[in-house]
Amino acid sequence: MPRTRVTVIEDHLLFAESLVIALELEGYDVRLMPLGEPGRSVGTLLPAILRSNPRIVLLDLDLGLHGNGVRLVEPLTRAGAAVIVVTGSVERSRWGEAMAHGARRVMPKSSPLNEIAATIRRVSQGLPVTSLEERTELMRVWHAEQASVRDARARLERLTRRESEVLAHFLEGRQVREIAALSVVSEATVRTQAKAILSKLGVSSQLAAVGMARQAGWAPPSR
Amino acid sequence: MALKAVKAFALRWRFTVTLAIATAVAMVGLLVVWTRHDRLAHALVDAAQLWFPLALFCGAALLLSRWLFLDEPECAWLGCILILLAIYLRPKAYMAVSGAEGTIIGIPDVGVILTVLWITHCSTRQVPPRGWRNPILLGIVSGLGFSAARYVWVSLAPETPPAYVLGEFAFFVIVAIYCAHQVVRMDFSQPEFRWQYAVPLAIGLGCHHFLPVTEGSLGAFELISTAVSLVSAICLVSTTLALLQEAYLQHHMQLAELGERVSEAEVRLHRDEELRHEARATVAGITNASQLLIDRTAALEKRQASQLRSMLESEMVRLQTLLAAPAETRTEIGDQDLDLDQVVSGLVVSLRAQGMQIDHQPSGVLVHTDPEALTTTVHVLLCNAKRHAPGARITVWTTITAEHAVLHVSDDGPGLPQEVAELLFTRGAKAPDSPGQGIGLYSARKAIRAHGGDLTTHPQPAGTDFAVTIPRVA
Repeated sequence: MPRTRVTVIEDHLLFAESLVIALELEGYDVRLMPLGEPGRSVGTLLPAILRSNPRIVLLDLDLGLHGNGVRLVEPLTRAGAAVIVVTGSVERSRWGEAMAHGARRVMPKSSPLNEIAATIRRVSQGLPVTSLEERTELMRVWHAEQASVRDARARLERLTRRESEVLAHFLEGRQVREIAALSVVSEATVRTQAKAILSKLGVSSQLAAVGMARQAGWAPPSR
Repeated sequence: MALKAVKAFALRWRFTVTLAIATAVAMVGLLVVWTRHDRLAHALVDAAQLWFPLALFCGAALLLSRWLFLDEPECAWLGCILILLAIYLRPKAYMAVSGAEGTIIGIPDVGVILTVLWITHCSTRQVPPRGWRNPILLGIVSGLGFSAARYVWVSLAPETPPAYVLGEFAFFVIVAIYCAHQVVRMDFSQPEFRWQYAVPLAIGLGCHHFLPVTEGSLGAFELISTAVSLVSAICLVSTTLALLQEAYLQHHMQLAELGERVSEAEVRLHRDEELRHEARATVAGITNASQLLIDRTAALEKRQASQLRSMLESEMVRLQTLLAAPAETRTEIGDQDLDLDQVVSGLVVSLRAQGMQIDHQPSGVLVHTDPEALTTTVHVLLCNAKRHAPGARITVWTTITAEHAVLHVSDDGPGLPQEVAELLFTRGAKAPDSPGQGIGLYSARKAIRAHGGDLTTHPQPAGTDFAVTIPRVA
């Protein structure tokens, strides 16, 4: 019987390396996917991963400068690989997102090696690894998050160019005084713009505005 | 010079000056009205009767609002006095007061004056206005109580000797001056505001007593009293309004400052969250690798084991530097003042825990450099010594020059071959049997040079000696 091929996609080298060694000891054919130069987007990794024709993919969601690993879940699943997400993230909505795109299981990085090995064993035997309730719950969290993000995005789009700049300053943690000095306008002007931002976003404080922008993954439009 | 002094005086006392002018104008106006229209003059006197207690009420409300804003006990007590006086001096003209009640001076008046004295005392002592000493309650109850007492007193209608009346008036004047003085000496708001509050109130109260109650001919004295009490009522309301406005502004600024601090904290929290995420991932790697090294040593190939070990080491350093620097300094990478001993001893302790023998001689020097560069450099040196001179004794000591501190990391191991020493700081240089990647010293020198320091080595008769030069704090 040919050995099951497992591909590891992970930017923390030590974690990846120990996974590889542990799984090799379990008798799997393990490949560690080189991520290449930082700045290459995850999408460009896909052909290389598919070329190795993995049966099981261990995927990290945060691939450092390479971006979000969740974008790989769906194409890999469609190509017939079982994707197991091993992530350092504790946001349940991101777990749900990975699940929705077809991941078989989402595990925290703090899981012991033998639990990861056990999961891989079950997957390679074709057994289920996530209960239906857990899957439904995670996906529900993700859908709820998505709805609020959509709402936040719609509100953020209403900002004028100048207001977006001010909000970007707030995101950087600058205060009204600094922003006024940087943009060579009066503090009163900045305060007025801040008020306009708050009313457009429907929030009552700068803090909430910043939180909303973060949640929506908002970036100021480039000039 | 004289002009300047006059200007300064006018600026400081502009309110008082304005007040004096306003009183004069009001008096002239009243005089004109008085000589031409007698009925109108009477109407104005009645208005003064009505407006003075109302102004007191209004001032009380504003002062109590300030109290609620800033929680200053003085304002609560002053508000309490105003309520008491406003109720006691209620608009006589509109409340069917018999003529006798208006003019008679008796025991209840003395009671009111004593109460005011007591409340002023509470105010200067900053007695907390809580529980039964609620200023609103106290003001209303005492006001109504003394009004009732006055009613009883009037119905008894005792004879009051003129000497007694004079004595009581003198008592009133002394207490008024004393209370005004106390208020001016308190430390709420600005002294100007306290002056503007206390003096017109005392004068206005005095004049209010001379307002004519009965319908009759008006003399110049009555007119002056009317004008003064009208102006002081206006002054009282405007001052308390200014006090409330000041409280509001103060509050507003506090709120703005708090808001800014909260948003700063939010940014820091976000950075910390990112840091925690990174640390979690790093720890996961370290956990797994050490688990493999401990539980599965036998199954690991030698190459795998040594690779894991060296990676473990570098991940440890990364984690250490990740957690060592506070969140702000990490994002704005920059030079800062550091206690050299503190940086070194952290590393020494963690490497001692791994079985190294390190002798660290503290120096007490403050250096100015990038914490991450310094930590990395020292760590690389210590790890190198551990790797290339296993079991050797490592000494960390510091010499000081005029502008620099020089940190030495030396060991009594086999020393460096000459050809290696020359290539040590080039990229990729390493001894043939070295498990390292050969970039440690290269990148360490690059990092420390970028922050005003240097990393050098000098041939030794025995062992090795590396020297890290770091700018000292002037």
